[in-house]
Amino acid sequence: MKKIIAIVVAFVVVIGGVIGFGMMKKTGNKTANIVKIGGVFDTSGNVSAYGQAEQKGANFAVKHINAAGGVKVDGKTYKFKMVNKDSKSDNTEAASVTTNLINNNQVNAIVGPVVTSAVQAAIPSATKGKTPVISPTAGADSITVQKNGTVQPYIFRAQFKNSYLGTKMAKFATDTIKARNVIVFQDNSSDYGTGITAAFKKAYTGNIVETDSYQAGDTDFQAMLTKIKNKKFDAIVINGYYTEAGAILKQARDMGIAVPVIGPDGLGDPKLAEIAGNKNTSNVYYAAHFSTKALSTDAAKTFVKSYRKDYQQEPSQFTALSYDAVYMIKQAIEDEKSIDKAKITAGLAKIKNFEGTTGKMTMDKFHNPKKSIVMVGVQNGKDTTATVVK
Amino acid sequence: MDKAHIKYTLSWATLTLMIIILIFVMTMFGIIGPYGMTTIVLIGINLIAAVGLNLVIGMSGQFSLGHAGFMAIGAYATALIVTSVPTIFGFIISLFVGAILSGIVALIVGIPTLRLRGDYLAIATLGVSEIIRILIMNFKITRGPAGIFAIPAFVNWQVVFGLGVLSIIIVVNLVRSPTGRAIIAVRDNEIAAESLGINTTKYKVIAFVLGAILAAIAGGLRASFIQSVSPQDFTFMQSITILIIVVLGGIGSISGTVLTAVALGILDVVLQNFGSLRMVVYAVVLIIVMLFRPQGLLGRSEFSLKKMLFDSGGDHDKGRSKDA
Amino acid sequence: MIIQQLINGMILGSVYALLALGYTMVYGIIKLINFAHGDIYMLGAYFGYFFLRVLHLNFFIALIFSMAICAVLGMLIEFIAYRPLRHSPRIAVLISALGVSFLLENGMSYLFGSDKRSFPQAIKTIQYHFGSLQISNIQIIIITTAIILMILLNIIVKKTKMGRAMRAVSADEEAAILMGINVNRTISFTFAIGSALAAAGGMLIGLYYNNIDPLMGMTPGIKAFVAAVLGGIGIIPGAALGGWLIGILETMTQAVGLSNYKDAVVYAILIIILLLKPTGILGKNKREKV
Repeated sequence: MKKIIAIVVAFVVVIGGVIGFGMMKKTGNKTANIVKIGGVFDTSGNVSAYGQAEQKGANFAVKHINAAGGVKVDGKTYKFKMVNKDSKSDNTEAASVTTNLINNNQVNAIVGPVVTSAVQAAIPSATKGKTPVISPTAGADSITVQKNGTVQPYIFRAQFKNSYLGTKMAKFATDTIKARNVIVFQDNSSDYGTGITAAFKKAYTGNIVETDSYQAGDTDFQAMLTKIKNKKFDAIVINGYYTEAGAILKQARDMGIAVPVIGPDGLGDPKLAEIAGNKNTSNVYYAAHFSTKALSTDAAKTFVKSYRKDYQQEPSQFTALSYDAVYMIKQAIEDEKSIDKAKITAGLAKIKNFEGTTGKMTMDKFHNPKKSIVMVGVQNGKDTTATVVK
Repeated sequence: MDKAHIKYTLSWATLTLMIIILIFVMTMFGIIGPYGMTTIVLIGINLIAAVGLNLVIGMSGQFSLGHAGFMAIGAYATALIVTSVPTIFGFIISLFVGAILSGIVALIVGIPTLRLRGDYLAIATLGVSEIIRILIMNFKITRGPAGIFAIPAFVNWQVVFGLGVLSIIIVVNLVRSPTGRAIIAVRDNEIAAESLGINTTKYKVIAFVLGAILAAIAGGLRASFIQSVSPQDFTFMQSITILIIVVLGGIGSISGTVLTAVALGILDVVLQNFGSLRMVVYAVVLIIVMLFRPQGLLGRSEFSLKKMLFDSGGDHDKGRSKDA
Repeated sequence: MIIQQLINGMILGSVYALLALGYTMVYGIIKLINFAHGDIYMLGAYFGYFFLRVLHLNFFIALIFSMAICAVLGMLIEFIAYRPLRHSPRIAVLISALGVSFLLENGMSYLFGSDKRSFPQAIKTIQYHFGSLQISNIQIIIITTAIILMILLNIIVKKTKMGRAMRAVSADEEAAILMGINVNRTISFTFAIGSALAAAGGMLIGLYYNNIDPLMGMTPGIKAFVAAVLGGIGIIPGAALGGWLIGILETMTQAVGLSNYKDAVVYAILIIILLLKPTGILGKNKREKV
């Protein structure tokens, strides 16, 4: 009986403690002079290659902003601070991390998540927490649109939307490459691959000889390539990321398939040529936000230069997009003269002629940046041409 | 029902009530914010799935690596039904539909494959789970790799807590029923059980189907709580996550499963800040726990209120009593 | 074209077979699904990368070094993470193996980043054409290595003293101890051989596909495990057979236009085979003792 009494007493004490603690707790003041940016990046798990690149880009941007004196609002100077949390390539975790950043870390805005499905999972938390979320690389058209057709108020992206990419790639294939018959390979494990393929198919006027799928993580594409080898086609479209595209490119060239290869911005990483080999990375065209060959904006020039200096390597599209996402938040703060979450949200929606590393962009009414696509041509592993697709 | 039994049942009920009051009070005074709530709900969902898997692995001794597939069925059933019927009734119906569908699939899969032993069964269930995921990824209605989002939310911690308690009650009572005794007999010695006239396949299938149903309910809850589903949520790694909860808690110990689900949920909160070091820490924790407690935190024994409150003296740890 | 696809399947299958051999050996002796096996294969590739890119060694010397280091690592892993659990429930060792696998994958990813790296092309790819058929020297190397290693393994297991000890431990550990066999040493030896094989596989694959990353062992690891089970786990020729079968199945499903359902078809056939032959294709139906 003693034990029972002890437990009841303990329980009452705990509840009392909780109540007491709750009464004493005051809403703490936010740390002054700091703009906190939450980073939801997959730094572990199967998309960690992209997550780590984007985290690097965001941190790099914050470093630059602070080195340049932070952001001035009404005579007050704010420094930026990244609060990065790992979402381990898991959608549930992305939702949980977003909630954590909004409620416990009290961030002013969030950069991330990396992929479409993780952004979808983060939408409810962002909406409940009334916090702007800007995803560097999520492509699905649907993520910035609510079910009733109005805009998703707190979700933004720095990336092209998939349908835009697919359409422009189709135009490029017809107009510039003059391809009448194409083969399409798609990464079937992400919306990025299937979404672009769907848009490409819709917009392409030529003949699609064959569509084949692969999974992220696949390394062997012999069967897929052998199957199409003897068919008649003028170009191959690879809708996926550089990791698999590099391997496809190598194996295709080894097999003697020399036709042009067209891909979305997922191919825009220096690793593409490393994986495929410089010799094999010829006659490749990918949709880019910027090209180290033809830098469109001043921001891009400074970015590429200082990135090379700091990391001794070429930046990828992933790093650049994430870098831009942070700068877009800075722009929104300057435009609205406030670091308030609602103001940043409003500011992001009104971004106009913003000069980022990935081009000059204006937010459309569905929070997609309007910027021109540059189709970069690669010969011998080096960017050689840059064609703007109107 | 004898008097002692009522006493134990009451004390468990009181404990549950205490936890409910504690959570209520803590939310009221803002000690548990939205993030704490998310964590609690996710722990509860993993718990329901893990209790189901413990029934399959712990009680009937069948090594299944396919739990994610059944969670996927439940999740997509809820996602599809609730998006077209966005009411609480739609949600309840969707949970039932998911559970029944998952049960049927488990039945179809279970009857032939549960003849397989050990690792062969593991591979077969892994295969089934992957097949389910690949089908979902390619079907039009499930909207491919992007999955479904903007699913209406009907799940809060009360719902998950209630269903969690309910699933524990069902499993614990099943284990103590004649059916449960038969299931455990099959685990402990299949041949002996068979020679006593127990239809081993039947009992294995019962455990397997019930496990699948609980997995589907966990999946449905998650779909409505996170408000989005995608095929990537239900890979082999998801099955492993649930498996780890079961093994770490002690195979066959329901209270062990509860404890580990909570502990791992809290560990996850801490590890979010570790960036790419996160999984390294997790891996080390996993290895160390296994090296020092190979039988899991509680082994096969259960945390017993009866012993804690009503027994005096004696050695509490040795017993394997499943009473109270 | 069918013949070309069969060749493709054989090559892919050889990759799985190389890995499946290690799985099967370890399983045969301590009944453990060694989830970390795929990651040893990854480590082998990374050591190869280091020796070739940083130290500029000859490919075959690098191969031997990498195999030796991974053999030691394999023994070390067994000693730290599996040996203390020798008499624990099998599932505890399984979780410990999962832990080791997570540790290796994420440790490498933490230390060296999770991005892909291009593997040094130490051997130049040469394409040979036979009519419409095409095969490269590296593909030939992979197939022949797989076959040679398999024959070698069979000789070790069947003819040497250590091999006999391995079979004895696998058959009955208690009896093996009574016969004066050092069980610990035998198990260590098994891990050493299995890991060395995986390392060789990792380097060959690195060379063939030209890229390596910390998670490269994950999918092939699961596939190889499936292959080992399909062939009859614990049986060395079974692993090879299972590997080739899965390789050819995967290739053929793609050839007939089911690329979306590639893995689903493979798993479905696997389940059917297991239902017909519950212990794998070459598995013997052991009578269970009462």
